[in-house]
Amino acid sequence: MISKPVFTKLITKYALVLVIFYLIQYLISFSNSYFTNGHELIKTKLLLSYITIAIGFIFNIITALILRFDINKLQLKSKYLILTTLVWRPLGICLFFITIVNQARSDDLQPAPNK
Amino acid sequence: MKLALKISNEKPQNAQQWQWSDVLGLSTEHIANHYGIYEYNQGDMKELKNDTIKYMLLLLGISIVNFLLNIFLIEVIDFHQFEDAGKAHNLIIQVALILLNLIFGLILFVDCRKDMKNRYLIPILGAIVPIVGLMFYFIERYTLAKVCENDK
Repeated sequence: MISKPVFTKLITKYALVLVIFYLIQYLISFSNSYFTNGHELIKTKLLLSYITIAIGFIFNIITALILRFDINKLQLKSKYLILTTLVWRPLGICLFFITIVNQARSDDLQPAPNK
Repeated sequence: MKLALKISNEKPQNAQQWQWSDVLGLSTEHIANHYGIYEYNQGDMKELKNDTIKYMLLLLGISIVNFLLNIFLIEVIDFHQFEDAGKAHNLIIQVALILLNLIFGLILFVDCRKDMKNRYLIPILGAIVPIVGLMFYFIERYTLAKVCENDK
């Protein structure tokens, strides 16, 4: 079973990852609206929106890689966590925590091996 | 009596031993204190229920205020009269949303500061994206910290 400080560290780590990525995304979308005056070509507007979406997806991939490292480290049995993180990272992270809790509880309730 | 001693000196390993402890009249609280294992009790469940209702109402309030502000601005701003009306509308909505999220983060901070390790990070996350901050708050407060071993 994982100890309490490790759990807390994991929460801190992922909260920090989410805060940093969200702030960068906000800055990018803010700079998009700040530096454009609304009279650009449709192509330019589309390109900017594609770039914003791509950056979000890159952040999802980075989060998924970090999550994969922790899943392997904790030996969690979960197939779709990485996939969920690629789609929406907060959901993937929360499911990761719930999986840890679920595993911890089921380990606790498993019958002791016969000696 | 032997069994009671055995149970009180060893951590219950499985569901059966937990049941024995019930039969022998050892309270869950006693076991929790002795082994550093936490089990939910009535007080926690009540607190969880109150917290859920409070934050659900807060999120609902933010959505309703945002919705009403949108409608109000559409009614008030004459989009034909000046060029940047759409931009102004968006700006007002964004500022209002940021303020509401900040208030939400502040409320989260008031709850976090008492006994939580991430008392600054989770409210910051809540101020950026309320629902995500709230999920982290519930995970740290009611789930993770209470199923893991207490490193005393």
